[in-house]
Amino acid sequence: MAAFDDCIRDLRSCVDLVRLGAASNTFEVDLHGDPADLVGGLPVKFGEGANPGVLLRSDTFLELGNPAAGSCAAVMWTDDASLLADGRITRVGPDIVGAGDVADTDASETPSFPFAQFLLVAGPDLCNEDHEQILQVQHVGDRVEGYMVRSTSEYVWARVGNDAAAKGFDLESLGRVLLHLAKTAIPKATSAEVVFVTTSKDDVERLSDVAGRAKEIGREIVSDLWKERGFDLDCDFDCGSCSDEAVCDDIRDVIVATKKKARGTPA
Amino acid sequence: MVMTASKDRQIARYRKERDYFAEVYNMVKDLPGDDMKLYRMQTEILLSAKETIVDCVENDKPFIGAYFCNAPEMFSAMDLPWFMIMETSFLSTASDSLLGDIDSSEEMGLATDLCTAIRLPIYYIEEGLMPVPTAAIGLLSPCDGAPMLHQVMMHNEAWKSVPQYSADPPYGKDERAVNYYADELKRMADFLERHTGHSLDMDRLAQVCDESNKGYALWQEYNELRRNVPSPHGWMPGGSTAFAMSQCYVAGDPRCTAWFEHLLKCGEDRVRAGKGASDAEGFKEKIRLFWFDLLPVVTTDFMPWLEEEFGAVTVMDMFGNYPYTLIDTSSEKTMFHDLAKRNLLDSPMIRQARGTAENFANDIRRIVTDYKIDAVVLPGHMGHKDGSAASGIMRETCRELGVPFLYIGMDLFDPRYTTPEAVKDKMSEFFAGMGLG
Repeated sequence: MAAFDDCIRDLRSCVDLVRLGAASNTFEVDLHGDPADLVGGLPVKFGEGANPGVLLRSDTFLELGNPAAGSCAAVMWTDDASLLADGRITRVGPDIVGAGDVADTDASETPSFPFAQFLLVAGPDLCNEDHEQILQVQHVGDRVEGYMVRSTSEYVWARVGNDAAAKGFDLESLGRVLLHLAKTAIPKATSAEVVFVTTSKDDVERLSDVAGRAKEIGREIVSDLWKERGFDLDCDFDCGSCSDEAVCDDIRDVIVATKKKARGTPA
Repeated sequence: MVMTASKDRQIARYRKERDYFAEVYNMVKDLPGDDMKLYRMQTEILLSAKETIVDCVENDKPFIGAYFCNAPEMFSAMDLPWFMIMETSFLSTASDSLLGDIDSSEEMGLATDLCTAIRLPIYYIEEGLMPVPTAAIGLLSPCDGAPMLHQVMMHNEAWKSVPQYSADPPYGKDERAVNYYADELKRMADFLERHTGHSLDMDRLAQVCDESNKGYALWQEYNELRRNVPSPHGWMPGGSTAFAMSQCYVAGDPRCTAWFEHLLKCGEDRVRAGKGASDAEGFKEKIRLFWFDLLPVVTTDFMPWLEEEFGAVTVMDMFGNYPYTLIDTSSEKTMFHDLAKRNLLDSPMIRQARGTAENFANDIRRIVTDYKIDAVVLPGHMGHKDGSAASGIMRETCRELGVPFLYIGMDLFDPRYTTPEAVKDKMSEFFAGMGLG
């Protein structure tokens, strides 16, 4: 399955360009071994319901991916493991720690970073049926204490709470969670990689092109899957071309007659 | 000022509505409490909206008929009063006459399977019960019923000289589609300037859109609160009211922004205090519902019944849903682009039913997950055939998510279609069958 392969390659080129401009403000780590170990030493709690409530504005240390500051996210998957560096977390740009010095405070009352998040997953047996499950992984849900992904239909726009930031929650922690979820929630995934970019709105917008293409590919996959199940997301017929038109017309007559009868007027 | 009998008839219901809200406002204006303040602010905006339309008709001032998804920020920027062409059936004071109006619309020969929300305005136009505007903006999506209403407008004796414009909605949702619709909105602005004498100043539009953005941002923030368990509010306030405040009365108005600020404050206070949707003694949130349509208009006791009887809280509904992005006001091009996106791809009903059916599934998936929904209800309003046609997709999506799904089949305006008792029976059986209550 090579639908996303070109996007993965383009993402690499784009991130390399952004990295050139980010000088030394980059981080890269390769983590291997048991997926459980990835979340073993996190500075905050991890697991279903670890963040049970909502993070209020007043409890928020930093937002990631407020669209006003710049935001994009995508998942890409492939059966070609050579396209990924398994277990790698890459951050290009500043981290959550020390965010107060560099965050954009104009975008909202809460300090905010431009934020791009890419989750890459590989496995020889991955197929279209796995796509929606991979999509879900990127949102993390309520599994990380002090981290909440806001409910949006197009972005990954997240909040880091004051307490979580004080405990040392950083993008490596988030990357570890994403790698863990990819490797445990998607049984066919054999490798996974995460890329974060927080340098500038311009850089995030540059990456948005790649993200947009990946989303379009994803949409086509979902549409094909529905079709295989007998549901067409597209509508290309009208009443005139429907074989049940006569039935509908009969139903209309029956409703009129029933209502007239109920009102006591002759049918 | 020349008031004819026909003009009197056109605004009789708006006068009644104005008087009703004036009375309500006088009753609540001095009552204490944050919740009451929220209601007072809302009533003041509603009252003002009705007064404006009555004033326009009485004093021959330009005003237009349009819809919430016609980029109402442009009307505000043009200082152009407007009313929603389909709103007559939603007026608070209309409930007394609604069933009789529905019967009369059928006696006119209108098909009984035509959406009641469209049948009623056709009846009101034909009977001279709707204000005849200076110009009208039509709606070509999401359903085929709305253009029928516009055909009536074109042939009715009092309306046929009213200039009409309808932006053409493309089927797709890509950049090409959004840019196409942005051009359609520009043509709408030209049309309005030509026929109303009001002009659109880009600086003023930016100002209105900035104000609108403030309200939308507050709304989104507020919606995050409804993810809390328990949800700080149920079917009222927030939810659909937030939709109405953002785009149905005066879009981009500081009074609406203030309402959103106060709504958010009320919500945050309740979340901090651990309060749920109701302050009634013994109330406990037990079931979190996603109601995927308009709330029922005539059976006003239904939503409270769900809360009281089952602790079933409508945490989210189709109109309270927030899928919007803010408008970039840096240039004329970005404003029209983003207004096009908002009105073509984000507005409720249009979003789900205009193009491909994927948003029905995507919205369910996101809302069920983010809002910890226990059950999805598709009321299956008789006019929303698009939604009913996609019910299989919705059911399958819910099955995948492991959340129960109920299709009712009702008329949100006419309790005789499926009686409130039958709807309640269905809900009760559903909750019992699914082990929810």
